[in-house]
Amino acid sequence: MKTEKVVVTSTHGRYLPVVGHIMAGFPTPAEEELQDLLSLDEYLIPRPKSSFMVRVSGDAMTEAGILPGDLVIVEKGRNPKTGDIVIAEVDGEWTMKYFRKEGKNIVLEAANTKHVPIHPQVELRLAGIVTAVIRKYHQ
Amino acid sequence: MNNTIFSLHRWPKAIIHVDGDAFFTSCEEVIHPELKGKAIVTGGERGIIACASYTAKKMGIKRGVSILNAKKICPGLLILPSDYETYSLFSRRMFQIIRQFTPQVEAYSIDEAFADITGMRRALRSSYEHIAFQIRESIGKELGFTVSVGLSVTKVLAKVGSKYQKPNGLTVISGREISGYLENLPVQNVWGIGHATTNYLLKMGIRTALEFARMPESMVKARFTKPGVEIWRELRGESVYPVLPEEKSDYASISKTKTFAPPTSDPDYLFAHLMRNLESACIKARRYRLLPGRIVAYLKKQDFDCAGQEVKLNRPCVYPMELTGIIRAIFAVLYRPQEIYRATGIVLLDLDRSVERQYSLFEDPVKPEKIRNLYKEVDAVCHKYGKHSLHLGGSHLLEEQGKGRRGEPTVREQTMLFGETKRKHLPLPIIHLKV
Repeated sequence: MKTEKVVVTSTHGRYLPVVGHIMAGFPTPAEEELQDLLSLDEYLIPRPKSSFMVRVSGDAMTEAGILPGDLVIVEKGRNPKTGDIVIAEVDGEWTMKYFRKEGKNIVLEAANTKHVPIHPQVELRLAGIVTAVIRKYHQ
Repeated sequence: MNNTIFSLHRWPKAIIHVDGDAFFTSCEEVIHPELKGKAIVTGGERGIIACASYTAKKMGIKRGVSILNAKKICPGLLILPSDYETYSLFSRRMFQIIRQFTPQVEAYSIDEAFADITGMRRALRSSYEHIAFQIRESIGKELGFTVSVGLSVTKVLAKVGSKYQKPNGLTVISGREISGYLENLPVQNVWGIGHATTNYLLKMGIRTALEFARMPESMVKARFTKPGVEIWRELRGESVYPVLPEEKSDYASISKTKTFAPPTSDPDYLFAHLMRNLESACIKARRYRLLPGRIVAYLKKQDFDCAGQEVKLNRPCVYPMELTGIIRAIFAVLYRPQEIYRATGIVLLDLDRSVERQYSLFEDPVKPEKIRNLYKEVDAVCHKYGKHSLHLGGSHLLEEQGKGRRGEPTVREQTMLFGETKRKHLPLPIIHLKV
């Protein structure tokens, strides 16, 4: 196995190879699997043309694992489904919440018991759907 | 009169022009959703409005007006510094979206593109009109702002179309419908017709684009230079200008310029900018492995008058360290202490692909070779720590005082994400929301 080929850099970022499962005692066919590489960029941001970043400041989604200071990837131009995390403007205020459809009504729910569910009265403007969260611990 | 038929075919060619609607302020509205629909302008750092939102335009605020005057017209006006980092990200995305429909896309400026979709009907299973519609919709949906689209048989006519209805317009001018769109179009609004040509045409009694297009060929050829004849043909539906997709690796010239605010006559500051232009141009040339044989340096005065000087090198060179003396000499020739300058610029010409270098008989090749090796390291350092992190003393002044002179930093410049450096930012636009 050529070790220098394990990490390949390209203009899209650094490719980390997905290496096969190890069966005890047998060599892995890692070399054959090297051809299917997904960069972390492609993995986290599959549609870069319509993706944006938002830095989280509130605590509405802490129980969903999104903490203040986290970076979320937000995708524009997609219709939300129940269970998606969305960034939306409700009656003049922007929030990040779970999106849920109850019949014809829309409910926005926080993942934090401190926040009560929101039932949009007048208008719901969508900035996008949260597709990934990024938290970096070291420089 | 508008029954003139210039072309018997509806679509001898199908060319699209996409034009961003108030592009800079539209980008700002996407990354600051709370600003949507408000009277905002960009260009705060220059003191002159670079772009006004449609709400601001309705209040009578136009591009090119001074910020001071604009504030008098509209006291509640929101003035933002230009955030070119974000605008370029949006610009590149806009071109990428258009490239999904055809590979023949020309990025004409930061907010404009031409696309040749001739022959794409079968591949995309749509009419030309529908392709144009889809391009406009995709940009609106994925980027969150509107563009105006013109579809016609030539570049000049496509541009007539994109201007015809704005914002969020879609204007289709097929070969048979040309005259109807030119009838009421003042000839000076045609792309490529400047001040001098307009005045010349007025002397002949020609006011509209249609009157110009209807001039007989012999008269046009006798009275106009080549560009004039070309525009005349394009207006008549005969495609002269091809849509040129960018060929990134082959440049005829590389130019770097910088406009600063406020304008100045400080020689150290001007020279530092000229050196920085040179460094930036050389970085680009090195990236594409091109060697310039000629260099132009220029200073632009406050009244937009330009003073430039050209130098032919006795051997091609892309290392600012070797070129400093030449730039200093040009600067000494160009600079007048009593003038106020607003911009500096460098152009590299006669770009050569060859890597072989020949030294003259009386030259000591050791020094240039040393400099070449030095720049290998410089490029490596800059790749790691950001562009210009290692630079010449001549441009260092900008690091010390350059930022302060540019006025208020943009929100993006004030936002440093964990792991980013001042010069290296993540390549996605940030939506600045408190959530």
